[in-house]
Amino acid sequence: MSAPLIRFNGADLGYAGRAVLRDVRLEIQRGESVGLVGPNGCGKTTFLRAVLGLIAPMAGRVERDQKAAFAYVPQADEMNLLWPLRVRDVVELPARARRWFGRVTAADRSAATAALERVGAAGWADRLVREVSGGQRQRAAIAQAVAQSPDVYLLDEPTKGLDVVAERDLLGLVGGLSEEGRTIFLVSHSLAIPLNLSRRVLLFHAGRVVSSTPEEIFHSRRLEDIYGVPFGQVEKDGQRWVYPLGGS
Amino acid sequence: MNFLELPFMRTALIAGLLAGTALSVLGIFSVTRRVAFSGLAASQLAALGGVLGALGGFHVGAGVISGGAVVSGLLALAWLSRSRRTSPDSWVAAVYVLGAAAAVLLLSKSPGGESETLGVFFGNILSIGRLEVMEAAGVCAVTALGTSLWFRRWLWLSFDPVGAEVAGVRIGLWNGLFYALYAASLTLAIHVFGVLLSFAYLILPATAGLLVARRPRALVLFCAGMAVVSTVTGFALSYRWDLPTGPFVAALLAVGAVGTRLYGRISGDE
Repeated sequence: MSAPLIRFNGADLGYAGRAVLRDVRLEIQRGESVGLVGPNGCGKTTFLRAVLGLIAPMAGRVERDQKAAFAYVPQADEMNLLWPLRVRDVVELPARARRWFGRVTAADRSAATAALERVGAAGWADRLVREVSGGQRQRAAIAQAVAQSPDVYLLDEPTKGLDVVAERDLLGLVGGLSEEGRTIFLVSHSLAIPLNLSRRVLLFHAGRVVSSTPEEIFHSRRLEDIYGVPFGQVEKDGQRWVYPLGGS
Repeated sequence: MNFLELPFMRTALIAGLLAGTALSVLGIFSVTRRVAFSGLAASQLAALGGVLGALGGFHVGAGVISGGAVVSGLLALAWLSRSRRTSPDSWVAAVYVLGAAAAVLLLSKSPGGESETLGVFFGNILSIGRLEVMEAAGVCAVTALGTSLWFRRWLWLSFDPVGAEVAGVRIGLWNGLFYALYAASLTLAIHVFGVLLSFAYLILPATAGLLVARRPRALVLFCAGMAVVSTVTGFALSYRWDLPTGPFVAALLAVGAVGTRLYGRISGDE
């Protein structure tokens, strides 16, 4: 078996001497599709920063495949829309930023064009990114990541603020990347997304990370333990939904 | 008599065009990072450094002190702005007030007194010499080279800093390079223009450019063009109407920015 993409070996992760996550022990293999689930402030972002090597463990070890290339897909509302950039410019930006004088090669251009076509953005690639819809902007962000041809995609709440059709289309794109064998880390507050899209789910709760599967989560009471309320389950047409019960 | 027939006007115009163009291009990043008023605070700190150097009686040393004041002030601002209970703008205001008050207090003890205070805030562009022109040419050349080489990298850091960091861009190094250039340009500009006109060059062309430009390259050309047109027009008209040149150019830049906004509104662009 090949070496894992990343191995956490008893790692404490946090900032300024305060551990947010303790004794993290797990391995992520190349090609896995991993959903990150848990309440706000439970350490999902801290975990992602450790995956990226942006923070060092406070205790234990984190071993990363140093050759793996990562790409981060920002939320559409994280982009700085003051810049007059076309959708195509956004997709080409990493390639231009890496070269002196901001030049792009023919290979960079064809990678950008292929990425735009892949996400269905070729028809509006010359529009300013600030003038397209939120769903289109999110597609542009994914196209930018695709054009970099990374081994690992990190998606942080990619469906935030999207309407249901845009959400469906976007998740279809992410599913396609996963089927190609790319490693996906996906953070989502919607429990349905990791349940239906990821093959593995990491549950964050009370400073711990627990590895699970969509099937186990759907049929167990783990969500109830984490969120402190009972959950209902629905399964239809091969899709699963869970939802908190009670409330007014 | 044409103002260009006067040697001191020609010298001032050349320095103004060079430093103004450099500041207006760097200002694009100041505005798009939403730290426009940090530019004002940094300008004031550069002025304070200039005052300290001038009181000490050394020219080159004043530049070093000004640059040091800008860098320390920006670092202090970055730290102060981390407070979650206050708005970053409040700390920009605090640094500005500190820089301005300290400069006035120091100048109150100098023989030049009031006239020097006016010089710090409003500049005296017509009094500069060849040394300042050469400095302006140097800063303009370094700015042109830096922005040509790394404009897109700095753009990425401003557009999506997390994405850039994840993809392997060394944020600290590239932000450090940018702010070094920014500090050097401001230091020189304060010496040539004073706080008011430096801040005007830094913010107003970029503000107007973002309203009309539809490509990054067009934005750079617009900002440089607006700086050149406002500087030449300001020199010519202020000479003809016997008005102070620095404040007149600053007013023209402000009118240009507001006019661009009005044009956008009327033409239905916004």
